[in-house]
Amino acid sequence: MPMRSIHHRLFVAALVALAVTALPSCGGGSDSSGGGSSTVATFTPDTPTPPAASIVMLAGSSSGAAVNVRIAVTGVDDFLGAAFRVNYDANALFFNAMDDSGSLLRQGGVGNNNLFFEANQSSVVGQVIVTATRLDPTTAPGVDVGATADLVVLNFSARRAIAGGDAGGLLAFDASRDVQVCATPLTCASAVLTWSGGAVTAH
Amino acid sequence: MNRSRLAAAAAGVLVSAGASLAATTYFVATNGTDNDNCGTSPAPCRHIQFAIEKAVDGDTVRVRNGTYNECLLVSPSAGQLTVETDAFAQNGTANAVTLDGTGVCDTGPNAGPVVIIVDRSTIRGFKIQHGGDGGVWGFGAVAITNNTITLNSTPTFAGGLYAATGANILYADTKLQIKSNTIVSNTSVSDGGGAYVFAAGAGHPSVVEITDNIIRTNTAGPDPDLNNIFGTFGGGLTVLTGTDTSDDSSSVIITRNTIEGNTVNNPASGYGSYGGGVFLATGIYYGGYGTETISVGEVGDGNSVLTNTAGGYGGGISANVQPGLGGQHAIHVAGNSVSANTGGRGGGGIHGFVLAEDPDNNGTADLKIQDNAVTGNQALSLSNSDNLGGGGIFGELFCRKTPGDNITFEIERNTIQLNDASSLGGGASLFAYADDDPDGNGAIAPAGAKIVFRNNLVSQNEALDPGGPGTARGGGVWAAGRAFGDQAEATIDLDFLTVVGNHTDQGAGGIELEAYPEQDSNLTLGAVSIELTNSILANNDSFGAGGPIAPGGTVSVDIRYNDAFQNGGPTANWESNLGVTTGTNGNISVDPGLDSLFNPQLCSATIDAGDPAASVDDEPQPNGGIVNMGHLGGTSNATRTLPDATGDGVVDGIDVLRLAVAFGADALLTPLRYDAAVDFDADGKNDGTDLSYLASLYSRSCP
Repeated sequence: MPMRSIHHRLFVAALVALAVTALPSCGGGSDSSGGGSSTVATFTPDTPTPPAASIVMLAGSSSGAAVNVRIAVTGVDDFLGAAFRVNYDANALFFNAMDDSGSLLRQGGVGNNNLFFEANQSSVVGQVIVTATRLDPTTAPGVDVGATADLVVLNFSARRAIAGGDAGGLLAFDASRDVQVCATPLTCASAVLTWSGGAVTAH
Repeated sequence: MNRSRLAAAAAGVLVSAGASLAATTYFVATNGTDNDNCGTSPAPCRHIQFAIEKAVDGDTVRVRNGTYNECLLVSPSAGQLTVETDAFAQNGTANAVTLDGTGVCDTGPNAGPVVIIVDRSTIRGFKIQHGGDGGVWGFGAVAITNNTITLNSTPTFAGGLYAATGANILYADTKLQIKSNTIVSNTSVSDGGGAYVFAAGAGHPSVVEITDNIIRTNTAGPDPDLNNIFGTFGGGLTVLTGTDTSDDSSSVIITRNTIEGNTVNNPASGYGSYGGGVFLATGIYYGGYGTETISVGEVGDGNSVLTNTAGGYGGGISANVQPGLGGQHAIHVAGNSVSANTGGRGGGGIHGFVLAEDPDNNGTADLKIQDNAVTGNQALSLSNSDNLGGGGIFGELFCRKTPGDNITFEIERNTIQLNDASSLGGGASLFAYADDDPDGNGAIAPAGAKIVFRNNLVSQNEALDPGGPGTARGGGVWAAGRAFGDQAEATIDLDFLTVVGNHTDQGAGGIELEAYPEQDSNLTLGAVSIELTNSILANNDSFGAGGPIAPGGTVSVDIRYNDAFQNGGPTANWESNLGVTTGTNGNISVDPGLDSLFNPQLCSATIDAGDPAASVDDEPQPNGGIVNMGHLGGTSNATRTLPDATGDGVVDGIDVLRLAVAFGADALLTPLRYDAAVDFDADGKNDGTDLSYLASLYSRSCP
């Protein structure tokens, strides 16, 4: 099942409970239709060396059929947050969970009250809608991101064997996306960045 | 026994009584002895009445377990007296003491009630049975609580309990309380099989509370009197109000009662009967000069009215308002569960009736039927001029030479489901009648009759002749206006309805509209106006709306901003003579996207598709600035608009980001950063409530 983790100003009990209970049960690829214990999946980024002003997918750790895909930001000043969708082949891959524990947005001790993380399946099959942002730039200003840093980590599982070049392994950012940067004095605007995905292989 | 004469005598005694200095409890037991010294716990009296005679103002008579073959008069030398059972006083146990009228007050010249109780006294915890003229009579501000009143009968009215306020109330700030009794299996020849309450204001305000009682399987009628031209009223409970002057007031509150399985039969004269469960009347019946209000249920505090039967109208409840003489008269029927009742001639669940004959228009009438669940009721008999159906609700309004400005008749926010009528209006039948010349002498005066039927859910009802396809019509709603003379107008206002899945023999399965402009003695035609707006009509037999009328002349039909979908086939949403063209005047034909409770889902095309001129103020934000169609439209329960600030059809992170940058902004304090598009609750702040709503629908999209 998909999971979502929400941290924001409102401590809505139900939502917090959902986040707390969902994390351990869904993380790490619980899909019973996964590739099986003998399957080994790996992720290969399209852009292993991210340029400045970019958001790219990079390889994270992997375990059997499950693979972590880092959503990495490089060279963006005053980065408040990003919203994007990731398209994938639902016959080949399964979205398990999002991990925001190491997010660059937590730098400087910004607490959950000023953060919002959410990842959920879209009504479009094979699409996950992701949001990772700080709230209220007057109290939680944007982050100056220099070297590559992780925004969130997405965990997928391979449903079947995926050879190199198999389109079923592709992970791509959808065209519907946004990044907000908030300069001082406070002015927020969308930033035009380079976006780059990658592909999963599984054997 | 003459009830009014007896009450006056008892009250006179009461006034002369002195107040006691120290309250005394007198005990009574079946093994006691009546003597001058009886009444202590170790030496109880034998008879209850003997102890009552010893008691004075403020004392208590406590009765130990057993059966007492007595008929009591609780008034006497005592001012305020409590008569209770020992078992109830000790641990709340009821029915441990039986007051039995057998052989002493059940037949013959002594036939009367088992208990008569007067102002400010209390009787509680008894089983009271076999009275020959009812079980209990209460006069004034008495408290009748926690008793079982059963197997009593009367050759007149009030089989189980009769209570009257009026001049019997001797002190201000007191009330008649009928609470937590079980009133079961009593019979009356005429009105009030279970209980009959006359709530009259005469001097002190009359306040009556009827709460938490069980009123079950009582029977009123049949009255053998062939001269009975009025009918019989109230199988379970009859309540009438009255006021002597314009300064007087009467209020009755009826809440949390279970009123089940009662019957009122038609009199032998052939006239009707009304209110199988409950009959209510206010107006000119008794004076009616002052302010009179009856509240039957409140939201969250309603009554359960089920499986009652009326030979005539209002199987569950019959509410009648007849203004005049300058008084203010209101009946509110709200928050009740009204189910599986039967009206032999109309109004299976609820019958509402207003008759205004008041050319000066001084009096007011206010009949509201709101927030009730009306389910599984049935109206029998085939249609004729007297039988206008209404399986769930039958509302009829007559204005004769009365302008109607002070007349309110509203049926709102009800759930009307699974009701049947053998004639008209499986769910509801509405009839507005206006006559500028009711005497037929040419002396006309304006008359206006308007019924508002709004925000109701009407689903799965049937107007079917049980003998096979007949004249039954209007599966969901039958609505008709009839007006005599050019100074008369009858109006039916149908607004914000969800009418789905109803069945019919003929005409429209959803809403059958009929108009009858008639000539008065001056040969001028009356006007009939019918409005149908902001409604959803779907999956009904035959037409969504139809009827043998066409706009023109003195008939006005205004149908706008409705969604009619898959009624009787793709081309049968509107009967052609109504002149409705899908795609014009805001009328659409799309799947309304209702959920299992018939509420519009988030992506319903009926969201924000109502009349742009209608007030959207009560709909929760975000409401899109335009009301929704259907029964929740325009209300605080309306389905909210998708919090899609960017308008791309998806609630996604881009919407979140828009809120993120504005988060914490205030329209007044930080207007430059404030973003109205993500202020979903329109409170002037971009804050957590907006984020919470957005998060609750995160990733949702509408096609």
